[in-house]
Amino acid sequence: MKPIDDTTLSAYSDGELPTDEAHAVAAALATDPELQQRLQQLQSVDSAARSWFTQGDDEPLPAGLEQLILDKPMEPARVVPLPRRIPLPAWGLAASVVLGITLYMQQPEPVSPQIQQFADTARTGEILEGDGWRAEIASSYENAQSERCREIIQHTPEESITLRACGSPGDWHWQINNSDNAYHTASGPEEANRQLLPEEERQWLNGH
Amino acid sequence: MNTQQQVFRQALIDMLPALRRYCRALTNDSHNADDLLQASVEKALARWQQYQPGTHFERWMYRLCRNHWIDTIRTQADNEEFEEETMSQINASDTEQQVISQMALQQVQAKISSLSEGLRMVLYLVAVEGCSYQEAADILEIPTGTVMSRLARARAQLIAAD
Repeated sequence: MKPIDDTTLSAYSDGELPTDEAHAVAAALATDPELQQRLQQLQSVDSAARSWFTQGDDEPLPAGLEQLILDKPMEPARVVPLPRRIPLPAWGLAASVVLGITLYMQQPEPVSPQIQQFADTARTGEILEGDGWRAEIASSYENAQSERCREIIQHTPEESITLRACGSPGDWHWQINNSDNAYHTASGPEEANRQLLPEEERQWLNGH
Repeated sequence: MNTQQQVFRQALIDMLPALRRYCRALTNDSHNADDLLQASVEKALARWQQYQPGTHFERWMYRLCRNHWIDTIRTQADNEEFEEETMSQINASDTEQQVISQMALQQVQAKISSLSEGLRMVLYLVAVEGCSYQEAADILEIPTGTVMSRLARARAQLIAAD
């Protein structure tokens, strides 16, 4: 077995080692007084840290801060543009399907490298500022085909565009919808089967 | 008043003591901490729509607060402490010669304030806030392995000889 270093001992103390490794450390501690002493040293730091970090807890909060929180105007709940609605044509369902396909026209490389990189790495809620535009990751979700996707809203002074990237970081296929004046709340895109949890999103973007 | 806004405002008020403690750990200075606290609160109110209800509010606030602090430091062009490679290194063989019983609590506490930001924050989140390594990694946006190694280095540095 390799020597037990401070990193392993520290993680053992925090209960963060895998079970088999924790058992190995426990076995070593049972027969090694120097290791026991080292563990006690590392553990002793925490009480000093708690004492130091909490020493200002009794001081009053900055004056007016709570009132600021209560009084400061806030933007209304976030709204996300709906996809443009096409009036149902009188000449039948087939034609509306054609229009629907046109509406969600897929484009191979329809967005800038900046946006592509943003979709590869940014977490939900992050914002990217560009020259005359602003993009935000609105959500990460799984669609009905169990494909993972990201919805990005790009705002310019003239319009808001909904970008949907499905696939995986670095290998997206994109859909673009221009907005109209209809809005719905930000509960995720209609095609979303399930929103990704923050941890799932993090692991996905990190390639795990 | 909008109910979602009310809930957000109340969550922010409830978190103020913990957020101030976090700001102090981050800035290592009570005056800067209060400035950071105020700025973080204002930023949170301006960006409240980015918070996803049902997710960890505290972690969201901690990330927002830390990102603001990093921006502030970068603006001041004084960010060496944020770079892993500039962090002070620990000589483990030296630290192993020390015995904690010989050290006064005050000495350890004085050393905490001299820890680099990277080491200080993992120590704070795990030892004081009780975060798991994964939670600390999420807040600081670093890998779990980095949390583990920084924490060990922080602890070793605090029991090292002067």
